Amino acid sequence: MNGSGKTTLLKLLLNLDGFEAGAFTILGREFKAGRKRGKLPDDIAKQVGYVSQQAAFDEEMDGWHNLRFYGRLFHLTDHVLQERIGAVLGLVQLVKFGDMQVANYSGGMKRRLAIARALLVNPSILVLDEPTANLDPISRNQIWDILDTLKKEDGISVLISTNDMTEAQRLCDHVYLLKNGACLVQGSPAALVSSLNASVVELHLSHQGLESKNSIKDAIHAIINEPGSCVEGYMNFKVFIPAGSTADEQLLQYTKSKASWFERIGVRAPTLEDFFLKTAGVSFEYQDTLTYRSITNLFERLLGSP
Amino acid sequence: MQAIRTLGVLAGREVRMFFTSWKGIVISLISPLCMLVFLGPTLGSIVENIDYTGTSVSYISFFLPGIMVLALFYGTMFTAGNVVVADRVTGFHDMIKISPNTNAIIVLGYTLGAVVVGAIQCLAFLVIGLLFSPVFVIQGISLLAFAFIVLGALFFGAFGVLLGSRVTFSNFSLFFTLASIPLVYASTIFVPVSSFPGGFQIIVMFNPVSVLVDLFRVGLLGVSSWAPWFDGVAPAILLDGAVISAFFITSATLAIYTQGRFHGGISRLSMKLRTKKDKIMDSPVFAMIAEIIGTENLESWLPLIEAGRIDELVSKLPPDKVMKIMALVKDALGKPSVH
Repeated sequence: MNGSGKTTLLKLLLNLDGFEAGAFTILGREFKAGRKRGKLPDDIAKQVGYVSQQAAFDEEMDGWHNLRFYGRLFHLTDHVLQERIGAVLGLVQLVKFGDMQVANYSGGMKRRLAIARALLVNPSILVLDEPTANLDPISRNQIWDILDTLKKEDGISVLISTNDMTEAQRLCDHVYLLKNGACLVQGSPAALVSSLNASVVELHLSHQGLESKNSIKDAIHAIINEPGSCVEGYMNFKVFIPAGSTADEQLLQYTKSKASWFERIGVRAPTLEDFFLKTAGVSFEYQDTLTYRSITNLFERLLGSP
Repeated sequence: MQAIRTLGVLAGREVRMFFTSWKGIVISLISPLCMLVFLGPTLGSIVENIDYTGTSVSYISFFLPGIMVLALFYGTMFTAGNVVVADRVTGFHDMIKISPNTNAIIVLGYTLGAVVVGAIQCLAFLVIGLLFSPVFVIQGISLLAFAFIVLGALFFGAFGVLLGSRVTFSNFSLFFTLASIPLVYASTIFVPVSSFPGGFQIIVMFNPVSVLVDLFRVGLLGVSSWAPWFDGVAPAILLDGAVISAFFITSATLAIYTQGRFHGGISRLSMKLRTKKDKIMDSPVFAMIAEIIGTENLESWLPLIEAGRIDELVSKLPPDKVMKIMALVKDALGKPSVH
């Protein structure tokens, strides 16, 4: 979720930022809270590859020389680098573009070059901050394939932060859902999705239906009045129907009675995105979430709500 | 050995960046070049010879070392600061920082690269300046002065790294100007120290830019601004060296410390959110609540809310305000888009 602290968390793990309380363990080494940002010990730094959100490069230089610069910072000899650069460029399918100035790379190519850079050091852990944000579907799938290969064939542990639930479902064995700097829930995508124990009815409104949106909302409420069971979009509603409930039939009957308000209706199995919407929901209107949560908590208590 | 290689890698990058950007070269040369071509000869025609602590030297001989320091100062400090601040913006700085190199090596790498760039510009002025026939008197002891000049250049670079590590990209020009203008104008680049009012002279003499100018003038002319206080130039060079060493050690230490400084992490996230009063005011409900609580109190109250010290907070609110807020919140809780 935006502003939940994903990048901050990754930076803490890389010791690019400090933290006031708690501890974490990486590659068997424990790091405790401290007032100072330290540096990752050399042996750990050499086992961690990092792909930042910005995919920062020396744009005037070509891809190959960017990788060489970075490899040298990691104390790789030129002889080793010659071999590694070829290998990692091959892995991310950029061999042909190694001598092209990075300024001329597309967004997807830069992101793949950033992965190649992180792989130079032959890491045990690859940390990626929103690796496919703002990429087109082709580039996104290319990166997913690369990460899949790294995970499955090379045995690299991949830690990614993402807002894209499709990406999380496709790549992750374990997911932590963060909100306001805290972990709301964790588990495998399959387990999280099945914990919904519900099917999803999607109601897509017609233009006529859009004008009667409030009536539709009230009708849904009347059929199923469980908190978080309905997610409202601009021209659609997603309704979570608990297993064993007959609410879906009532809903379908209602839509038949108001056929002109609906363009189409679909029933499907839930996805991780549905889980995210239902769990992290409450209100997406207020993005300054910590403030919202704080004030809401305060006033919920004032109002006597749990 | 590895550290030296890393220094070379980092410094080499800056030098390459300098040579691949013709705009940078032009901008960095234009100001001192104009001074040398227009200002120097103009002033020289008014003041043909200058009495420099008892020794008569031609104005161009006096002026050229000052201009060389100006080029070294701007070239080094701007390069270091600009590269660091740009690297911070693009995220390249983080990529460098996660490498297995100490913060000291990283700071020195940035510094060295900037020094090489500054030195190239400085030497370019020496070459151009020689066309104006300055009279230089170089002695054996000049070598000691030149050694301290290198240390002075390292100070300019470390100071630039420090500046680039602390300010935002948009504020860089402002802070660079704020830092550089007093150093340049309260120095002996253009005039001898005797031209300044009595009380200012000691400040001018200990200004690191003046110290570098003095080292250049001692090295090239064999005369020091400290002449009235010392016999011979050796003690003057040693004093200049001690001053510039102190400046270098201080700025390098601060720059290294800044790299490892605690910026907040999780607390930075909450601070960011806590201080987003403007964003709160964008939301009609919060704007109303904030108005009731009092916007000036909001920041001090949010930590209480986050710490769960609700009772403490409520006790600070008069009952009528609590009632108003409750009504607003009741309304707001009825609005969420997920229901």
